[in-house]
Amino acid sequence: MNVPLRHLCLSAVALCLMSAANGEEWGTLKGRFVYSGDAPVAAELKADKDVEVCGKHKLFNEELVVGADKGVANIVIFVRDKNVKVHPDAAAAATSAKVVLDNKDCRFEPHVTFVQAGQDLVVKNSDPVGHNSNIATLKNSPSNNLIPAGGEATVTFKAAEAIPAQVTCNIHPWMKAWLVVRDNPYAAVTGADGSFEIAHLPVGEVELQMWHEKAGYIGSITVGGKAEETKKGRKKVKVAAGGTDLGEMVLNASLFSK
Amino acid sequence: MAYGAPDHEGTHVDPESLDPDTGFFLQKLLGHEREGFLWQKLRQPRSYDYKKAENKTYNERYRMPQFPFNDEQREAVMTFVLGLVAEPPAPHFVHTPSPREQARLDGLVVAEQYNCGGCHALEMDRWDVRYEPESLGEAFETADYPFLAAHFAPQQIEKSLQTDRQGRRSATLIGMPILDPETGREQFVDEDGVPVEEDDEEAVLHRPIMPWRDVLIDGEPRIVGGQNLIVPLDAIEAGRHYPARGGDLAKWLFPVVIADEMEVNPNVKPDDAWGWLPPPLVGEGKKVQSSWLHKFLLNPHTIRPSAVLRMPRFNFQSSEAAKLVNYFAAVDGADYPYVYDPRLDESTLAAKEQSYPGHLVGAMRIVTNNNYCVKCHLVGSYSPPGNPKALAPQLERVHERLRPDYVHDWIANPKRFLPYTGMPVNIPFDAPVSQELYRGSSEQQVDALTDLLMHFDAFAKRSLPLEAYLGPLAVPQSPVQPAAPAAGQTPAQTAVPPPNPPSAAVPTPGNSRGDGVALN
Repeated sequence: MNVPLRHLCLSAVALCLMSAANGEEWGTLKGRFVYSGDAPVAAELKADKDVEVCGKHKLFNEELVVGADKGVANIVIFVRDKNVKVHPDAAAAATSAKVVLDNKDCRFEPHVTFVQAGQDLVVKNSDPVGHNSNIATLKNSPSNNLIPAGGEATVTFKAAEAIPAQVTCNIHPWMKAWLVVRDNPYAAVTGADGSFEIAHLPVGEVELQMWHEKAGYIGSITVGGKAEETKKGRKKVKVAAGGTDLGEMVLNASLFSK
Repeated sequence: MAYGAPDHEGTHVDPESLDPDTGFFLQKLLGHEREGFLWQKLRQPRSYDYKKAENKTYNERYRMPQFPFNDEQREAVMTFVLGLVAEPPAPHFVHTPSPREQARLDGLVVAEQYNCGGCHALEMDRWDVRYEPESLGEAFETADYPFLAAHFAPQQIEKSLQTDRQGRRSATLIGMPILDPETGREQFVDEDGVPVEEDDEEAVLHRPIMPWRDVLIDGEPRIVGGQNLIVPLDAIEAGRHYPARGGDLAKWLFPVVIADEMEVNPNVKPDDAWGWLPPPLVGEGKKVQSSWLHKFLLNPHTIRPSAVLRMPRFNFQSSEAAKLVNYFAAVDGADYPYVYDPRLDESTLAAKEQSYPGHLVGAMRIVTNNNYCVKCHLVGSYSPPGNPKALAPQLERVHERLRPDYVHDWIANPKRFLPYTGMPVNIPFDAPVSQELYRGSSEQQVDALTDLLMHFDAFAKRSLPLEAYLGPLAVPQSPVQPAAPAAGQTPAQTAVPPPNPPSAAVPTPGNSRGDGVALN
């Protein structure tokens, strides 16, 4: 075989492999968490500090947020496998983008924030009153900086946290949020309708972990009428090249009665 | 069976039937000899109350406690006592503590007499742990003010890296066990710090510990205010645990006050509860001024409005209070009873103000700015509105209560001194507060706040426009015949007391934030 032809063949093989990496080795995982039973009504919180600012907003206990369609918000789903292969696009996006946690309307926005270790977390204060953001991490050093009105502070975490860390404001004791710190980009927080999506997962089996602030680790789910024990919130799933939909996962109300 | 007591058949125990030592002492006891008396007195001191205490009040009974001596120790004491003759024991056998140690011992007596430890922790738990290298997780360095850095000698670092014959390293941890907020029991967690359920048999158990003293683990410092230490149970069991001295009531009340606050605020943070309970007095000697503590012990007053209990008046004698004051200073290695700190000198302050005009005024702008101190702290007559559980101590009294160095370092990073505190870092070392409030670096701003708090009374007096109280000079009045009013004045005007001070001097809570602090 002459040299140009050999180069052509090698290039073709490399192209085939690359296309596999870009198109077939990665898949998207999605699903939706649904509450069984009547959706609980979130209790209203009383703002007794900086009433002239915080009193303007209706504040609710966000420990358990269930939508009208019974979707459970703020459930954290992440990949447990420490050596999971990471898609280059996902890795790049994580390192270039900043994550923002805002003190807005005397609550934290969002209620659950996902940030990767090494990624900048910008803690903002959009309110006209001062807040502090007391981040109680277990693996990383905790921090508690005062954020003056209109100010911001940048925090970076060096290690992943096994469970979300609590964020509180000591000035406004009703304020609480959670921070998910992982060392890979494969984590998601369910939206208001209870759904989540994790893109660019490697095809094959991965172990997920599911956590909710009220329930702790999600210990059981019902899928298609079949109850499934998920000890410590762990669930192994197979990610297909075309994507995997876990469907509706029903959560018994008793899980949230702690 | 008690020696010497009749057995079931009504006969006494035969000393011959016992081991030689016990038999010997029993024989001496039954023979009313002094060896026997001392042996029994040390072994069962209350036995001498038998049939003698019925008509005695508690205070008339024998007070000798039952010491936890083993046979060997008991015999050593007996040898010493029985060897005593008319001459005093040789000086090298007599314990002569240093003045500091004597202060500690004297203070402990008072602390125990008044049961200070019933509410307050006087010493934290101590664990001498032997751990597998790198089994206590990774240490992460956090950037902070240089004066807050942990200091360890190279020899200490080297020692921390040494392993014993079992391949374990040693460390002494001083701190608080983390309690379960619902049960108040000490928590077990897994290697990631996640609480372990009672039925979880797979988890490798660890204890989370909040450090109260900087410590070296694997040669790396773990600092107070940093992450909690997650210690494998086997490392604790391979070493030794010395329980805290005192603080039981605070521990018992911990879950109770959390549950109570949950009724009002479901988002309560468990660590905040420690701020509502009797505080640990560890480090009190370096924290408070001796003169203030002495006065406070004799006449306690409210310091933290958020506390659920108030310190009662113990009716200490002045000498007893002094012993407690000296105790705290002695155990912390702080100077006592008199301390000279140049920061408290007015000349030092004057020099600073000369080089930085508006030094204290700028600091006061930080204190009264709506983002900072007045958010939570009482300042003079100003009390921040809101939940009393979020109120912090009065700032106008700091100058008499706290030591200047403590105030300085506390402002820089409160968690370095009280790891559970909710007080945030107001002036991060790399991000000074607005230059419109105080022009300068973070360190200069911390310094200015310290100066202001330590000279708060002087600053307040200086800021008080006394002339406003004096009013116009009154014409001397004759007691017999009132002087005629000056032209253009009515008699009523001359007779009125000095006018009210201007509104800036006695502001309402509403205007106290922006215009200056309200002062008593």
